[in-house]
Amino acid sequence: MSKKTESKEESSIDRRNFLKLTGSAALLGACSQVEQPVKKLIPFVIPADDVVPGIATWYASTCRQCPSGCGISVKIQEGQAKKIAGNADSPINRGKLCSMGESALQVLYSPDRIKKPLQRIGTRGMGEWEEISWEKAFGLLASEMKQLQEKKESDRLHFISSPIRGQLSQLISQFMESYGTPHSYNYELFDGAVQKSANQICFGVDVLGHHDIAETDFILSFGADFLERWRSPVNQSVAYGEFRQSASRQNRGKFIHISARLSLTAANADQWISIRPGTEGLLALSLSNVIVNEGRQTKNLNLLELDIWKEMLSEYSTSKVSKICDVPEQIIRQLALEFTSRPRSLALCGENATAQKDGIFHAVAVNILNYLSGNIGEKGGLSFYAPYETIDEKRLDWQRIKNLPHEIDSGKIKLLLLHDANLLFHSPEGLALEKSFEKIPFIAAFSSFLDETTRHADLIFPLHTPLESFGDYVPEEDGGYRSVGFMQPVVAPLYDTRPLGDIFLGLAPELGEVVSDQFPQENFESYLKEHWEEQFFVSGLEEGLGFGIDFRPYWNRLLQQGGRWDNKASEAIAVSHPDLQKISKILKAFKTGKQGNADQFDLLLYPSLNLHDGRGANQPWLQEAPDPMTTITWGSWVEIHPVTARNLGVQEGDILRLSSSEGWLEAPVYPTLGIRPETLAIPIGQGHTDYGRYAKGRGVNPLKVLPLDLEPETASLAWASVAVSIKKTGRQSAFAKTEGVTHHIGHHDLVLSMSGDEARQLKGRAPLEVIEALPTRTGVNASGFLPESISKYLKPEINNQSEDYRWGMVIDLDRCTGCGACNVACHAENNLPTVGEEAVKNQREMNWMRIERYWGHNDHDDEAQQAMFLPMLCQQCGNAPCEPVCPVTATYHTPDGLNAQVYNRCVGTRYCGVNCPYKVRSFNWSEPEWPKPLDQQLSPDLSVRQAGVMEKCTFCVQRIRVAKEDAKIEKRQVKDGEIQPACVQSCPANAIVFGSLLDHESQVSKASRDPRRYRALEHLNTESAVIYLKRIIDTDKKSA
Amino acid sequence: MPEGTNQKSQSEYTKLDQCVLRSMTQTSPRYWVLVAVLAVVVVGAFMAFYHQASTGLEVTGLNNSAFWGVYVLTFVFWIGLSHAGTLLSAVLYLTKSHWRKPIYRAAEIMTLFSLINASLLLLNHIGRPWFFYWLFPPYPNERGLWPNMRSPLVWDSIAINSYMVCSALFLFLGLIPDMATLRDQTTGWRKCFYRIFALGWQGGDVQWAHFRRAYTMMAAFIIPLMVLVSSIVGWDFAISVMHGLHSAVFAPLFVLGALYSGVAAVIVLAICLRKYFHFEDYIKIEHLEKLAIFLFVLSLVWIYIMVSETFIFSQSEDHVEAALIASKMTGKFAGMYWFMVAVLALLPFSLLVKRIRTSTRHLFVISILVVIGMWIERYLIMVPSLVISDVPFSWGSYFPSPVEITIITGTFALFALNFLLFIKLFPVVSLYEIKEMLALQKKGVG
Repeated sequence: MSKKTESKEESSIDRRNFLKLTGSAALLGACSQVEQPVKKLIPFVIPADDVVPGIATWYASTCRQCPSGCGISVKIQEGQAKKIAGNADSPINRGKLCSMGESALQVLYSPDRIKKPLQRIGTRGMGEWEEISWEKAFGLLASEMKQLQEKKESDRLHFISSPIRGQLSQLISQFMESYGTPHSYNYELFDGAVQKSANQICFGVDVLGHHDIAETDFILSFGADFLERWRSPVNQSVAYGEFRQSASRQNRGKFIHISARLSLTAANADQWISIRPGTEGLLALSLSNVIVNEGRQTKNLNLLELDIWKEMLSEYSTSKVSKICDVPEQIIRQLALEFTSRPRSLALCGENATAQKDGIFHAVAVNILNYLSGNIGEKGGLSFYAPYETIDEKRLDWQRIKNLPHEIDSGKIKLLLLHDANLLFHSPEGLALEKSFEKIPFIAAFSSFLDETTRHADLIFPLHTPLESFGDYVPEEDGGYRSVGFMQPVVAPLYDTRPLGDIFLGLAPELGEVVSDQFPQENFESYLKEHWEEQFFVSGLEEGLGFGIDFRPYWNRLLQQGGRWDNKASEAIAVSHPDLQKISKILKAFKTGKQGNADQFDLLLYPSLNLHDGRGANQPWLQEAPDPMTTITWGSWVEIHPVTARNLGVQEGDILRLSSSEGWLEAPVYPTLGIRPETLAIPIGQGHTDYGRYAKGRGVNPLKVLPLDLEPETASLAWASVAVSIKKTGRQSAFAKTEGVTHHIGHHDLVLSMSGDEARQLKGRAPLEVIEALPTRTGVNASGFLPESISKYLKPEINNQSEDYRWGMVIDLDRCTGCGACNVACHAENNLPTVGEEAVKNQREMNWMRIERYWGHNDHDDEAQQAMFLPMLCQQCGNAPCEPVCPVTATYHTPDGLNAQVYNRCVGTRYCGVNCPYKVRSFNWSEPEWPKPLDQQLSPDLSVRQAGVMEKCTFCVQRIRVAKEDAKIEKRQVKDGEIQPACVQSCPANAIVFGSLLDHESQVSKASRDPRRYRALEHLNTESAVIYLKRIIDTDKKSA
Repeated sequence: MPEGTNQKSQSEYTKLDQCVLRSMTQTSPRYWVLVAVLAVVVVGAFMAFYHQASTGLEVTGLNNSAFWGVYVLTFVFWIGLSHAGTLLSAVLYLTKSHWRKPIYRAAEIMTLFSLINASLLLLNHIGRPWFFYWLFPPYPNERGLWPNMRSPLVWDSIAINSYMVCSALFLFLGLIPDMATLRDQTTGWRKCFYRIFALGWQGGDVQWAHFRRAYTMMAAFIIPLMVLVSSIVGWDFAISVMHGLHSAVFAPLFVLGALYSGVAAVIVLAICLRKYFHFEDYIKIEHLEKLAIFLFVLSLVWIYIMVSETFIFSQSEDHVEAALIASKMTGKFAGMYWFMVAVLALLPFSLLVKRIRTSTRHLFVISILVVIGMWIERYLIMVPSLVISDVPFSWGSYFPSPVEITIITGTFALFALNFLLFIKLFPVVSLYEIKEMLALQKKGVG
């Protein structure tokens, strides 16, 4: 509570009034939501008594941008949501957030939301709509449903939804059951079904499993991009930060990534091992083979079992596997030895491997490796936990999707209800699902956006976004904390929309007593509350300790805290013995060999870091957030090896046509060393034909050219790769990318790293001397040839340093993953506009914080495949080159050491930008635009800049001011850690520390004395206040 | 103080007066066509400026790596051209070089209009041009805000404003005796007009003595101002920490560059005047030859500075510096670079041949090429140094947009237009000084 609400709520009555007005009325059970008409776009013309304009209130909720279920806090000012930050209490994300989470406000305030119920007027799919009333919409759907009921064809209603994983899904399944249809499904493209199935086979558990990255010593990732969109990325990134650099750890963890493509995660590894795609499992088995043959397996294995394994693995000798995988034999042996010699090790299997036709083989193979090395259920290993509640949801597998056209033809689907499942975007062209959809008599969609699938509906029910609704969410994976995230409306609904639960509850009375008797609740909120009240009396009493038997305080705490979770991880589920027979069958079923013809390339598909499976494409922040490996924004690209490109005679930006058996796509190529010569790669997420102004008609959708190959065990789509042939089109298109030159030009102080050996030698070394980054007193006045009165005038900032603070930052490059969440957080916090594709192409991107990606590093220059990331922001120099050159003093040195930028004073000579050696200043080349209602997100704590004005990172000066004022009121100093700039707050790997450098006991000052420290371009004597800690690249053969 | 008294010289003076007056009062349709064309270009440039100011600088080719572009470098270019006037008028006046007399007026006009162009470009360059006056020291300080006196841009604004005022004063001061002559020889509105500028000049000895003293003092005052302006423009760049700009040689280089391009521009101007106003009698080929020799000497100094600067940079073992030099010599700027070297360093050697330096056609071509070469030199000083910085990730590229090209073309048109209009109101050669020269010649001969 303390963190989430800055305004002190004195009495419950006041709060009730206040929350009613903010649209959180339902927080205490007011039921006005369903019946109320549209509210004003500017809420809060007359604020409640206890609302102080300018003072923010934070509400806890749960992020629904991806299935991870991170806890969030939403900052509300004057009834509008301004910023989303991670919920520090949540065991999933520990207060951190990824780019997608930061961007959720652009879902809420998207200018492309559906504002009223829509009825189709043109032919289906043409996108011609008529706005209708809710009554009419209810009437239309209810009559369709009643007709089916009367004809006893209730089971011809199908409901397909994205996974809801909360009480809402219970409500829906209850509804569907009483209505009489068994066809209620949920659908997710990246759903981990293969892994679960492999876990069932190997360990008898039907859960995903939790990888204890933070505690392990050695990670071997078989294509698992755990710092990107695999599983729960923020949770894994937080753990990764600890894995790399943690005070509580003895040694830094080592990480080796094995994949065909150098993903962002691979770029963070100490070593990337390039492997032929689709052979990951073989390599894992070969490692296991070495392990059992050399007797390095876990002690728990009895001899009998060992023999079985030995025999089963005998086929996977290093010599044989080495050829198939294209990995040197010696490396396989080394990996096996290193994997077992470390006290704790962990192997991960990514979706690059599991989303193949033989995905189950790879998942099982990696499970075997973990099993034989004794990593199961151990600290720093792989453990399985039961979620707090089992959510009963039926998965819509791809076999069913494949059968949909057939079922539609045979009239088995008469009424299709869709909720947020963008099947038509994901389904391959070959399925021709779009055509089949045309034959369905009636389609109703529940959605906030007109995506490709919603477009085909006859009737659209506009939904609240998650930030306007009540709900709970049980994450699939939470590391054993048995957590449930809660959602509550944080702002008044923007449009005439409703939550999904209310729609079903509204439909129930129309469908006869069978259905309506089930639902006495008047809205979903009371349904939810009922469940949790039950839960409270069943199991929550001990948690609600101190509340007595009164449920209400418990409920309030759930909302205030943003959910419930245990304080410590529960016991892992005991695993059963591997099903050896089944395993052997799976291993035998695996056939190696390249797909397609010899002259075809493997096109690898991967989820885009910012757009996920395409759902992020309608958010301009995410579109403009550069892809970390290519720095491309607003579009699609095909990654190609430079040698392949040269052989084909193509250059960056040349458009290639890639044809698979199912279709073709055209996209410009981006040559990169991070891919194998015989493979290509393309991100998933772009290529929308609808879904709003930011997504539509941008890039290509590679899912469309996939063949309908399914993984037989789980009927999952094998989306990870497809064989394609290449044709040049002769056309070109320039990328909107942010990189300039990214090879090393030999700087000694820009982006630095050290080898593992060097790092180990530093161990126990005394901390370096303190850095205060104050303006130096050398120069004019120190030499004494000018009288002090004049020198004071020439360097006025020297005499300004009268305060007790000098704000500084330490960025640990060994923790930084380059994910770019900081950049999006910065956009959200600081009213940064998105400038659009054209402007980025013209090098006019607007970033205060950018991640620079370089190739190669100082002492391993030959390894050009090494990508290095350098977050670059205003260095807040002590001797700032930007300050003296501004003719109108628009930039100057504040007493607490910042380079302030006074936007109103700036005339736009851009001299400061010219003179900034770090090139961190951005100019407003045009008038920034926020199509309504995106402008509601703009923070009132700082100004919106106009065209012609220079701007840059301020260390989130508005947050500094608030903290300083608080401290002043309480007559104390600002506490260390009290101020967190937006980038620090969001950084998933905890790479950034902020504080005062003058306080030598502060975290930042301590971190700045690390022997790994350096400052960028230190030779210029700028006395910058951003201190970097060198990244460690531990490729040394000798392990610690 | 015309000294000749006999009939012949009287008629010669009258002929001169008539000739100049004719050039002012008789206009051919060609003149008006030219004025109209130039006016259209100027109006186009002002419309482009309006467009730029209302939509923002996105209409230019500037970007986050090249914050400055052709506006700034053409500003430097115009400052350079402005120096020729001062040099020919003031320096050669103080050194009593009489050959300056027929051409200095044109050179002074050039100074004034170059400076106007330069200031317009600065205004045009900034992001919020409606706040341009924030760069000036406020007297009275009603805004309560001072400009940052540490910024070279403030020095710029002070220096250029002073220089502009002084140049204008210098020009109009030198016009006084001629204004009186014209007042006496014209009728109608011209008489009234010239009366104002003649300031009651009667041509008495006392007036001449005062005039000489004032003119000499003004000349002595304006020379350091000229050196200062170019040095400050050089410091605009040299004060920065950018590779390729942070160099101690910039102040002398910019003064020299200014003179180099300025003298070339004066040659071009003198040849034009000679041809179109038939001033062959007054602007003689010997005068042009003297200017040509001066141009050659300046080119030698320029070569020296460029060689020493490039040599020192190449010895610095700094990677950015190396990349910068490589981009100029072999990279994407190589074409411009070698053109510049050919034009500024090699071509002037042809002036060693007497036949070339006494041929107006050759001189004209060489001077035009030097002027263009000096514009390119400024481009090569600035653009590569901006797009190649300390942070390779931010390296970019720059190419001027149509709006920028329109505005830059517009400044040239404005210059020509101003010049054409000015010479219809004021004599483009100094009547009294030519009369002096004629008298001196006569003395020498007879």
